[in-house]
Amino acid sequence: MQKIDSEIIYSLKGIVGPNNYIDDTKKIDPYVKDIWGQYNGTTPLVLRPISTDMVSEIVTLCNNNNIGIVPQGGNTGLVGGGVPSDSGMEILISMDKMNAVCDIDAVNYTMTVEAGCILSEVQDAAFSANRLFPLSLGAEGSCQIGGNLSTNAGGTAVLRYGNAKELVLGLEVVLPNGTIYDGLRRLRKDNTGYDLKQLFLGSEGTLGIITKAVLKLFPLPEDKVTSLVALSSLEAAPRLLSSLREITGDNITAFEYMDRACLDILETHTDLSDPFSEKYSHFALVELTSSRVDANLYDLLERTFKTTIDDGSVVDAVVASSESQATQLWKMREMLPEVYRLEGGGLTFDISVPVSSVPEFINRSTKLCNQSYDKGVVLTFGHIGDGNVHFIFMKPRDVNMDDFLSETKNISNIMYDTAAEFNGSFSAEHGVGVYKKNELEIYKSKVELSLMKTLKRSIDVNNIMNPNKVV
Amino acid sequence: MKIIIPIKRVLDPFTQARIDKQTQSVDLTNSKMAMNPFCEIAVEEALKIQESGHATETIAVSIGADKTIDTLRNALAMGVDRAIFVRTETELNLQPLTLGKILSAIIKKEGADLVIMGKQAVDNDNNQTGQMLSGLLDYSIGTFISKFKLSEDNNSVEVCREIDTGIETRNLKLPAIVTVDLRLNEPRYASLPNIMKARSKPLETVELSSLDIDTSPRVKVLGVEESGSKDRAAKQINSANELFEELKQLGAM
Repeated sequence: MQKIDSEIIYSLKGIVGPNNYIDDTKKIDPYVKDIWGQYNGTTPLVLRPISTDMVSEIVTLCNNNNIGIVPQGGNTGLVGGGVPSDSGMEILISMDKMNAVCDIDAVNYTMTVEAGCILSEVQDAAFSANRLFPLSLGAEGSCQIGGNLSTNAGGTAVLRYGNAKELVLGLEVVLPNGTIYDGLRRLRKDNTGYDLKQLFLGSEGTLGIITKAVLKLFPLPEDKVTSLVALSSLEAAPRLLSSLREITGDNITAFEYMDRACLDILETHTDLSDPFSEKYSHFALVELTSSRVDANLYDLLERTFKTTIDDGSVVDAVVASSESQATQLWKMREMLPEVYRLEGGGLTFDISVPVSSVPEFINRSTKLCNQSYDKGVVLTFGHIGDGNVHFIFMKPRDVNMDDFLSETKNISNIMYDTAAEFNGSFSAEHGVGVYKKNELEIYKSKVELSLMKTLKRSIDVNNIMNPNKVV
Repeated sequence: MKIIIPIKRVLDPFTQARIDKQTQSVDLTNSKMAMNPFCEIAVEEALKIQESGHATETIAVSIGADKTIDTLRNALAMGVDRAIFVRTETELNLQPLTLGKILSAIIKKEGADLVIMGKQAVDNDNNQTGQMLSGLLDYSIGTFISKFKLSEDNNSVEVCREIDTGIETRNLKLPAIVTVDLRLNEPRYASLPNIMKARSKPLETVELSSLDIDTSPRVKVLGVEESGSKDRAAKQINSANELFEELKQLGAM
């Protein structure tokens, strides 16, 4: 295996100082593996810079010596974007020590943070200033805002507030040649040429390292209603969503779908129980919020129920009457990614299609997958208010994983082809990383691909920034 | 047998209390309110008793200004049969003895044999209303109960009380009041059929002024302060020695 020159390693250590690097193989281990154990790379050195200037010095040195750099946040990604390859020729920059909240401007409704801030700490800091930072996802206790932005994370509040890139006003980025792009502007209006920050939102660290960001804040929700709704059919889900939109206006913050199989595995593996006495097949977890206390959300929900019972969409519902009940309902949705792995795992797909096509997409892909392999159980859940479906093709319990994988090789093609038929996306919120590079080549148009490659080549001339990821 | 469940509307326990320095009280304007969590447990227990066929009717009672209706409607949506709203002109901070007198008037009028209520409300944490009510009505009382079992003939109830030294089991003769602890049950969700029915269930309004009760406070609040939870934030300590040092500095050793 190739090795990075020891003098370069020595110089890199010198940049960050003795307390801010890791070169012990054992201690490096958690940085080179992803949390689900799907990717395992190697690196001789993990650097933990404490300032933007330090990041810039590191990158300059690496660029001058053609050393690959893998930027890493909380390492909670699902597509291997934050894990080094096994070449041994890449160093890893962990942003975890740059974790300061620099500024909260309550009047401007913005906050400026360093990239290594844990998402939940960003939320808490905003909350303490009586403001909301709405990005919210399962990994929020360990993922970092820099990672959220560079992967354009989604989560459960996209329906109302948009995904990560819509929550950013400005960025500071260290470019692949080591220069610092200071775009930390706190402006909501700034039409002065190309919107450069967009290059770094969702490009998964392939065009530069985000070091700081100006985030948008919102008024805190003062009122909230959370309900688990049993639907008469999958087709009823978009109908209920439409009715909710018509009746509540912009009060819907979340609309999450779960099917029967989801509730079954939750009951098997957790102490959560189906709140309904009858076995329904389709569920929507609905949350309405308002920054007004007197928004009468409960009444609005009740009105929606009246309409949707009449049109046959809704068959039953429970409404949380306390925050602890609301938490229980959310737990059902939030535990799913963990629970389906406990059940034995399977093939997972993160697809988006237009909201109106969600039922047809799920039905058609379920049918095609079952035709190809009739023993698999399909589990679907997701942020279908955004058209985002997490489609899991579960491994049957009595089949071992290797056999399952070899017999289901064409399931991926079926899924992505079906998504393409609906003008959908093969990766709604999880990104491309290394896992979906192949799909990018297949499902992106030639023009899009070549534009991406042109951008990559012109910004990262020596191909050192998160090499071999995305494009 | 009728069951009366007195419930209280309180500041949502998940929201931060704001202090109004001028009036020296917790500022409730524009605050999110919720049913006191102990009251939810009381409602759940009453509904269970009714489902087991021991009760003919469940009645929720609450006292406060107009918005209190929301909390009563919440109880109706959980499944309570009807509600009595004792209306006050403005938001009054009524003290336990006054609450006891108001509730006793309602309970006498209804002729209820069983009163199930929270052991305390999470706003003032008084833990007194149930006890005072039992004195006023001369009903037997079981406080802090974590288990509840009615006799077949509905004449008595066996309760387990959570006390400092363990669990105490008592038999109470009806009519009785029980004040419930957190472990008694898990409150149910409001279900769709009950939510839809809630609006058409009877909700009777009784003006507090019509009850002829002296509501003037007997306890004077001298001041209200924020709890300063931040000062008491946990600190991570790396060694036992460090712990001793910290304790010495605090004068605790």
